[in-house]
Amino acid sequence: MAKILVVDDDPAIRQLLTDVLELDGHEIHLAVDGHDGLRLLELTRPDFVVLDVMMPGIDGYDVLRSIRAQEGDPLPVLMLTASADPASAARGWVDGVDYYLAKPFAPDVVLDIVDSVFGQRIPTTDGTGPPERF
Amino acid sequence: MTKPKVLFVDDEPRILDGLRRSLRGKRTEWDMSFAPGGEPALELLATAKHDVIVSDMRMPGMDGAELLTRVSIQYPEVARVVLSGHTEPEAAIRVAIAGHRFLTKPTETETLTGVIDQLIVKTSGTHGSEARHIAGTARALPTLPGQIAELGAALAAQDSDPARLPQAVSLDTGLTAKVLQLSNSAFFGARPKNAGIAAVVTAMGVPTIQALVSATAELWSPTTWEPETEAFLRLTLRHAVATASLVESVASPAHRPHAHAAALLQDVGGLAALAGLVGGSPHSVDLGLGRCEGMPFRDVGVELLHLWGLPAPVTAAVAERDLPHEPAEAGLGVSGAVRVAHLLIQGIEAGDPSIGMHDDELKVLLAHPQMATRSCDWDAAAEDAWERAGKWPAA
Repeated sequence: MAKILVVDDDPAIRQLLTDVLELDGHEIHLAVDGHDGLRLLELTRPDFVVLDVMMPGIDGYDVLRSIRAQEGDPLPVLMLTASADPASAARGWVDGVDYYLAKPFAPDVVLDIVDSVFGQRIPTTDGTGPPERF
Repeated sequence: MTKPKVLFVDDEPRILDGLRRSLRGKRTEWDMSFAPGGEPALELLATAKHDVIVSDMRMPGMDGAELLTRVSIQYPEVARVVLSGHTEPEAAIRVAIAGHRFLTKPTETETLTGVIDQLIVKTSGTHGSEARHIAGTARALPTLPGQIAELGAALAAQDSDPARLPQAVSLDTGLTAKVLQLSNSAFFGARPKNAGIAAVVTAMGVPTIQALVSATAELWSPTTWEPETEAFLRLTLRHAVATASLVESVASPAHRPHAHAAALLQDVGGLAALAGLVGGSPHSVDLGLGRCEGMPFRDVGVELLHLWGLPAPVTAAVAERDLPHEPAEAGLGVSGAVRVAHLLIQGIEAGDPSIGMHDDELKVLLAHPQMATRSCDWDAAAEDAWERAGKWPAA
């Protein structure tokens, strides 16, 4: 399964995401702020990043910029913001996020996103119920 | 319900015994048989309908590539897996054309059972067996004469212009499919995760690409298309290339490689049906209706991508291309991006982007923050992509 880095200064969000994503078999690494995030990006080489926008010091946009400056295959990034904030969402899209969620969010949405990127669902073409999952 | 039938072929009794032992746990799920070579394998296939064949490559007499090529012609509905140790490059290319999945010895039992379990599943509930049968006849996708010439020129220019080859491969539907299919395997150089075609081409190496181009050319060069068939092929490939080029701007950074591949492969079912038609298969194909044996091309295409084991987001985006897309607030993903680019190009093809059958849906999609926040004239971008695709292949 995927190696996921969560970068958020809110311990409640880190705990919530760890609980749901670990249950689905993913390996979770936690960074407490942007600086820590950059360090763990280098150290853990994740497959997917969940990134909070507003953090003291180095913020989410700064971390995103370093991720996008990296050579090689683009890393999927899900950005989180504190409240429905069209301005920060707009900036996120322009800067190159792949997903954007406003807090509070339903944990299932994050699971669905991660599953659509890494899951091995076999699609069906007859529209009869959910595809099989492996 | 009868159990799925799986046939294992290897000339070494020790290997067959090992498989029998390690797969004992699957006896309740699968009906397994074991053959010590190509001839006995074909005899077994003649006696009962099988679902999956797993074959070694190096065997005395008929080797794995020859066996699987014969199976693709006589029993196309049987999914073809290669399980092999070291393979000579020449044989590897032959089996690359004939096989569906490639595993190297030694392989973990879970990997092998995972692949077989996947291949037992068919993607079309209503047309499962027919779609599998038609998809199984396709070994390579049809190409326009200019495509092979373009690839040949890119290969020849490899030293002076190394960027040209990945570019040429990334516009070639058949080669993109083949490269993605093979890149899953240690046989042909392991794939970097979520990689674009350029990275995969570099990882596989120029000689392998060269050999694949030759093998494809060999399958297609004698073909002179009927005018109606060539027009269909030209239009299908132009739509694919234009959508692939446009989706590079539509998709978010991490989704670009998969969205590009899905756009290029969106009509793979029609191409596979056409391949069968030229290859002399008895299936009735209606290019106008987009149906083969009464079944939508899409069912054939999705089944083929599933057999080839392409990344799940690519296959899903092809499966969902014609379904109205309700964009998730969190982002369009691969499927949404491909749908947007497809609809935009379709609007240009129809002649006037302002009159489309999917106006309301497109309006909603273009209003999604992922699209709306980037100040881009999407109709103009689509027009540009369509024009450029018209100049391809150059030859």
